Amino acid sequence: MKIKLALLFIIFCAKSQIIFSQTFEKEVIKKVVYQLFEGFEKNDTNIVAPILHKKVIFRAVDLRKKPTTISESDYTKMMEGIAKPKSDNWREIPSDFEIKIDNQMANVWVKYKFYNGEKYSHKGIDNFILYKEKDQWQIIYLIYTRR
Amino acid sequence: MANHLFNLHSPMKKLLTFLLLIAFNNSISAQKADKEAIKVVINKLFEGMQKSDSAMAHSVFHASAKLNTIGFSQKTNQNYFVSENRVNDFLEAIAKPKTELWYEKATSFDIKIDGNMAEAWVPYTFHLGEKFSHCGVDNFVLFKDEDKLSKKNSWKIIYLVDTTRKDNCTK
Repeated sequence: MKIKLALLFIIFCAKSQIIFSQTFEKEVIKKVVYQLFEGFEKNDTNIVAPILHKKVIFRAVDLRKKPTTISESDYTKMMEGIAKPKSDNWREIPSDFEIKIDNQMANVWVKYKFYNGEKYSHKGIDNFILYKEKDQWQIIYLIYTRR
Repeated sequence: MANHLFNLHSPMKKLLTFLLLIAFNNSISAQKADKEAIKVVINKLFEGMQKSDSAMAHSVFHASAKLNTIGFSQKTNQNYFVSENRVNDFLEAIAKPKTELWYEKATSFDIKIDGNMAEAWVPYTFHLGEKFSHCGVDNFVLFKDEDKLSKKNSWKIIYLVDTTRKDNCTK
């Protein structure tokens, strides 16, 4: 009986640990997304550099156009866009994070609203794919819709 | 007229509610149809792999598609990320005749859609012929685009990245 209880307790601990580490990892991943938006708002490529993989792929799907268009960008172009001085800084506000993790790979599906300074511009979905190398999550892919 | 509109029992209000319900139902069934179409696309890729039919596999990829992979090296005991686009290598490997066929099977589908963009998170198992090889997750990104030949809109894979492992697999 005692052994059974002890075993149950150990299983319970192991299970909670798995759930706990997933919850912890999800928070880490959320922070990566917020770090990207902080870099946007501050025009600061140094904030963004550690969380973007050098081979990252950016794709934009414009749902406002008929037919829908899709465009592509890369690390260099994104960094130039962030670094460019603006009269109205980019402000991106995420909501409703949905995060999935499988070992070193994660997917983030999150709603966003985009502002130029105080002025609302557009909204849509950001779909991130991340890879974790040596304890650092990096964005390897981002596709977003605009409405 | 305004008062009349907001009267719960007015025929106008009933008609509006009815129209809203239809619109809502339509968008739900459209999402369902899209999800089914996406499953068909993914299963067609697996069928192409099994039949060593690279033309079939090629047909589900968008012209701009990229393919990356996250692997695990037993030598270094570390993960690695292949950031080069592997679509062509992959299609060549599919085309090669094999004694043990590639048998990839989805164990579940988690599909999210926003307009013409979709993401599918698909845990899979991979067998070489009868022999279990590995498992992992395929993370697909799809784009609904007009097909040049049929002029119809269809879902195509624009990105695929996968994880690979030997343990913790549901067989």
